[in-house]
Amino acid sequence: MNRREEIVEKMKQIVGVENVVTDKEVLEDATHDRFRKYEGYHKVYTNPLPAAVVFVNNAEEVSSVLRYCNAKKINVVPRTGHSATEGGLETIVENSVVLDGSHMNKILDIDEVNMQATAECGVVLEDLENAVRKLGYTTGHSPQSKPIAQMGGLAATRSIGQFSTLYGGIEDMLAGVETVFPDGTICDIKAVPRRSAGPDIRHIVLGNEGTTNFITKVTVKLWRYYPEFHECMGYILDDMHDGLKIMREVMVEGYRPSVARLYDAEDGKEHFSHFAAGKCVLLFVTEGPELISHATAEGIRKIMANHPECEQVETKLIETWFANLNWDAARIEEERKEVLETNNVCCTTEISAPWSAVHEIYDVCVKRIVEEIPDITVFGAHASHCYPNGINLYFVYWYNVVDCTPEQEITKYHLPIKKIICEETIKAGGSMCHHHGVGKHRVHWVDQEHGSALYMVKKLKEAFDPNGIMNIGTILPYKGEK
Amino acid sequence: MRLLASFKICPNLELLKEDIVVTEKMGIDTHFLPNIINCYDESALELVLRLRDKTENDAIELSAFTAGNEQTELTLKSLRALGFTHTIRARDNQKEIDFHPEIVAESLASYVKKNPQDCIILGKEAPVGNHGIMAQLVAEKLHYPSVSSVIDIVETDQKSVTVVVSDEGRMQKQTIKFPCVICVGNAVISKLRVATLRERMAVSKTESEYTSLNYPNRRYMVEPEKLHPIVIRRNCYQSQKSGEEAIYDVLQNGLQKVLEQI
Repeated sequence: MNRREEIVEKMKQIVGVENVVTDKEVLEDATHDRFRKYEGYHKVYTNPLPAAVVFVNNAEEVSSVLRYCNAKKINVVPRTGHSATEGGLETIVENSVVLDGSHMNKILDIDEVNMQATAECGVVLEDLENAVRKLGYTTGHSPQSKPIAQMGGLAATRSIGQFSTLYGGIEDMLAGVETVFPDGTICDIKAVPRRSAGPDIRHIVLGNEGTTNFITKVTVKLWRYYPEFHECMGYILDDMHDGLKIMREVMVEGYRPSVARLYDAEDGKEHFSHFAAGKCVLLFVTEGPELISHATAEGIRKIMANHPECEQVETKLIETWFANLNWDAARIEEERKEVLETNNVCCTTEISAPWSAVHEIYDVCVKRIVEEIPDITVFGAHASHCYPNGINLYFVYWYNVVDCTPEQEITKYHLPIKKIICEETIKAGGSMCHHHGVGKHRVHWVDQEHGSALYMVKKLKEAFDPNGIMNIGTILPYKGEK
Repeated sequence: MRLLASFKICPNLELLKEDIVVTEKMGIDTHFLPNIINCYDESALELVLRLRDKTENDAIELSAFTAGNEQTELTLKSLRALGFTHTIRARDNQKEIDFHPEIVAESLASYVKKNPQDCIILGKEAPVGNHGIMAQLVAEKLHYPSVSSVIDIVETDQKSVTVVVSDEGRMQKQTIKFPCVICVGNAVISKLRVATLRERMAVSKTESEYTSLNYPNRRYMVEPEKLHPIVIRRNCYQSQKSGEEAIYDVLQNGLQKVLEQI
């Protein structure tokens, strides 16, 4: 029996034959995530096939699988919804095990007294949200991937949603979490309102991207949901920088809309050309109890009244756009067909920056990429997550893949673009990753990203995954066999 | 050789929810929806570009014609960036053409009489209305022969064009002499290529050509007096998975739901 067969056999013993998949098509699909979507659409697979995709059903099975892989030094790639965008799910070494938690899809508890919900790692966020909405609550979490992303992956990648300016990112929502380490240890971090019992160990789990542990259960906070009090406001304006200044003003004055978004003309062209061709679009949504939502909206309107450069647009234009923003399986299939016909691909890189740096980052990235990268059809950005001390920029770029094979697409286009964005952002004092994680394709700049704090990241990895079996090449670069 | 593709910019009706509002002109209010190129016209535009790609020495001069308001300008600019030498807009700021394809046909024919073309290519129908008579009206007004249900344009020389026609599932190649009208149906190509930023910048100072709407002596189409949209609620199971997984999902979960309803 060769190593691959041994792995498959052992996995079958642990989780049962029916939970170990070795079909070629499934393994091919498991070699990549949406970072290599262009290759995937062309059915070109450049990473080695994993030994198996292993579906786990409880924390004990996860523990057994990890213990075995740790002892045998087998690379494990944890996943749930398979919606990652930065290569974090790529299997870059031979005979990896893709450990899939999507079968762990039970909502375990909705605690209306303590306003929190507990779900297994494979619960689709939209399912959890729908369940709590029936009771009049919301998780407050609404990334575009809501119809497909699952709770384990959302915590593992430090995800954020469209209503983050009010509800925060997943780090503000996660009350408790159960996770399993490579040596098989199952840790349950209890869900409490707050504590000061040493370092906040939730943050060892949040954003680990499967490099130190496998999340099996999460408890998130709930808020009462008041859709009837939502207020939506949209404005068009000429200049992206004016928009950024207004967003800062809104935040600094102390208002917390759930949505605060600003699109430049290029990125907005895809969404708003029917009413704002060639213009930037600024929009806000307020929500919460009636008095708070209306007061927030009133405050923002007062600020906007002092900005004659902005022209208010009809609310329905914004509401219709917002209602069609999320990505589901049907939309991904639509994208696949379109990419195969046109060879026109859309990719993104999201960063965060302090207010003092965001203008420069935006200008430099637009200038350099338009000048330096060939075959660009759209290069734009929107800002969609605001903080008192800064904002994110979500660069959106489309390019025609010309004169290269599917496997060359990344090195000809995507990585050179990402390189410019990441390096310019770090140089200006921002972070190269706002909410998609490092994955395997931003590790090239992780030392610049962390600076002296890289020591801590490396120590965490060494401490919790001393054999280096967890998602090799993610967050930290893979240096090859020791 | 001069080829003219005619297209219409339409609201993306797939995004229309159930709160349908009927306008004074007996249309559906779609002002809040983003626009797209009508799908059949989009095929027609890409097919002529592919035909040009196959033809040497820039022997083909491409024109694109539309009737619409200023919202069509973005598309016209993109088409110039893609190599359409002439982009013509018959100004329709009041949405007069909705339900009146004969006005567009008259306007297009009028333009072609002044600017002769060897071949006019357009999609078989477009919302709002989907009357499916534009190609025939244009052919009639110009006294050109027309061919319908075209799914591909294969090649051309200076005198004729060869197309693939789908006839109830059977396909055949037809070679037609110029001048002619080609009506594109469910084509093999459905998406228009995308111009690069540099191509768009290269045409940033160019402009569309404008013409006014021409009205025929006689209106062919019925002017609706009342409109009652019927919202169809499909009682179906839509899988969130794709490919083979979707088939299993529908078989397992979809059928289960149907059985439960019975």
